[in-house]
Amino acid sequence: MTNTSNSLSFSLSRVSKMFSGSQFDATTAFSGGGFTSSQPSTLNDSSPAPSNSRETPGLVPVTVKQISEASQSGDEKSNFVINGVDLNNVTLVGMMFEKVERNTDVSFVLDDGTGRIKCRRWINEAFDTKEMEAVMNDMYVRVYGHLKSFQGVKQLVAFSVRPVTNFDEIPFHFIDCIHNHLRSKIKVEGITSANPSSGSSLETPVKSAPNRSQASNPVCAQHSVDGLKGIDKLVMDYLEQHSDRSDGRGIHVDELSRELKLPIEKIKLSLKTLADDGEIYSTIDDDHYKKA
Amino acid sequence: MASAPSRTLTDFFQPASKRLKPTLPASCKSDDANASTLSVDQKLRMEYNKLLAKSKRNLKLCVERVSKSKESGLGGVKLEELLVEETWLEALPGELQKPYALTLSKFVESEISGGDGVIFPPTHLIFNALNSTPFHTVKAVILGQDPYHGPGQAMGLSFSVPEGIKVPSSLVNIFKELHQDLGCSIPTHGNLQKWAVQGVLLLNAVLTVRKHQANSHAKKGWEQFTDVVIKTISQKKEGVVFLLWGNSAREKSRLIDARKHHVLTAAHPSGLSANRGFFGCRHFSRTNQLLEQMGIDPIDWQL
Repeated sequence: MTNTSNSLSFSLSRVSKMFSGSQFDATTAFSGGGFTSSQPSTLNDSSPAPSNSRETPGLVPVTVKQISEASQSGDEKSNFVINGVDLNNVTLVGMMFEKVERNTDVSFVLDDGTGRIKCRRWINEAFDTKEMEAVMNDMYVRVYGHLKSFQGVKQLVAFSVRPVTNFDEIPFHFIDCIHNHLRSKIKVEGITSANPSSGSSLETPVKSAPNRSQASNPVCAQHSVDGLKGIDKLVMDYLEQHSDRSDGRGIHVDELSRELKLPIEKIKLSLKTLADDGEIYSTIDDDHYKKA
Repeated sequence: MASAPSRTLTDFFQPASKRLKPTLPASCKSDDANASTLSVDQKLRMEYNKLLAKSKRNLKLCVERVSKSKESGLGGVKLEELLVEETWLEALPGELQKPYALTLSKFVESEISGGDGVIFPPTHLIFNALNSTPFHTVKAVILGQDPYHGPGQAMGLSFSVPEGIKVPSSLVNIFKELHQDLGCSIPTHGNLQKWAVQGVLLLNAVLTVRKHQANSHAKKGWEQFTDVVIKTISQKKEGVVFLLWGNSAREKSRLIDARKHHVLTAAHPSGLSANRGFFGCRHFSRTNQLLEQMGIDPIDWQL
């Protein structure tokens, strides 16, 4: 019993050296004495990731199927991508098959029920040998590794392979994959949902403009019912009424500001909004506009 | 190099002014006042920005239609509602209501309903090639096979990717050839909309793809539709330059009347074949030479 405990602690100690401190809390892992507590710790450590969706996660739980669908954007040295998220280190749980031991490495195939993937564990020191001796064919194992592409075939270069002793770990791993997948999807969609927010922030100045202008410019009063589009409408109406100028140069922003009695900044903001929507376009330079 | 564009523009000035006289007598009178005469640069700038504005309005209309159909909770927006450019609707009357197109539409709609991000390009960009290059402005056609199938890459224009997305290797090779051919600098992005707005139709033979599955929507009806597009251009227009890269694109030459149009062929710009007939093809300068011979403004290929 004592030996088992020491072996487990030693194993966790090895694992903790492979991750940055922020990603794996060795103290928590030791005090937990098992897998259950270490996983929440990992999840907690991952929580800062949402603040920056482009940040590469430290360790990503995946299934073999997800790996098979991962795309590699460039040459073989670049990272794999799943759902637009870069993979660096991954972890899988599955059954070991076709274990082959050599002096330099131990290779095996991992089958997690969604597919099979070749894995390789390079033997560099006594610890590597000892850990690989503890696992054998037909045994469930937890693998930590880095994805590689070798002659077009995806492979996992493992740096830790441990036997699964608490079989709750198997369904937990699949739930962890689902959780991570959904979270990365939310990130992607979150970026999209940010656009309306950005849009509304652009609209805010326009909203306030009519109110402010009412005090200083009676002309705007008659258009207050148009709300946030009041100035845009004034600009569009003016461009339309003067669209037949013989020189074809378009209307200068200074003329719009003068004739509509509005500050040049508000005119330019309105012109930008209308141009982005394709309602108007700049003509001979960025200061002359025409209705499209 | 600086003098070449100047000479080209000068050469264009005379034909342009000649054409303007019969149709714009008022303009002829105003020529007396130098200050009111627009330069060639200014005219080109205005025309480009006007077409760009139309492209933006078309895109906005597509986005609105997609949003509306989602809000209504009905099935996805119908395919025919996503082609909004009037000039193409006039050139292809009733095409999207034909039986094969309705079958294709049902297929694409069922694929799209599988969830956002499963089908590329995004729904509102499926017909972006036609919505960005009105029928009457087509000067050249670059034929691709099907959209990029990685997330965020496809934007409905063949070979093109949005700003911020890594430039695919085929497009990198296109930029290399463009640099070698016309001395254009290599752009930092792969968005080819500037070409599309100028009249380069960036058409894929198949307009949708399933995520990560190249050519997965082949033989569903898209080829029949895009063949009709090509045939329509061939029949109703003259002097269009077709750039056909790779065997798939070259097979479309059977749809093109070579007596009325110009067909340029080369190997595909993908990494596997670019060195076997794409590099050195000089299609960009040849396209501009052909356009200039026909008195048409050349393409500004520099992004």
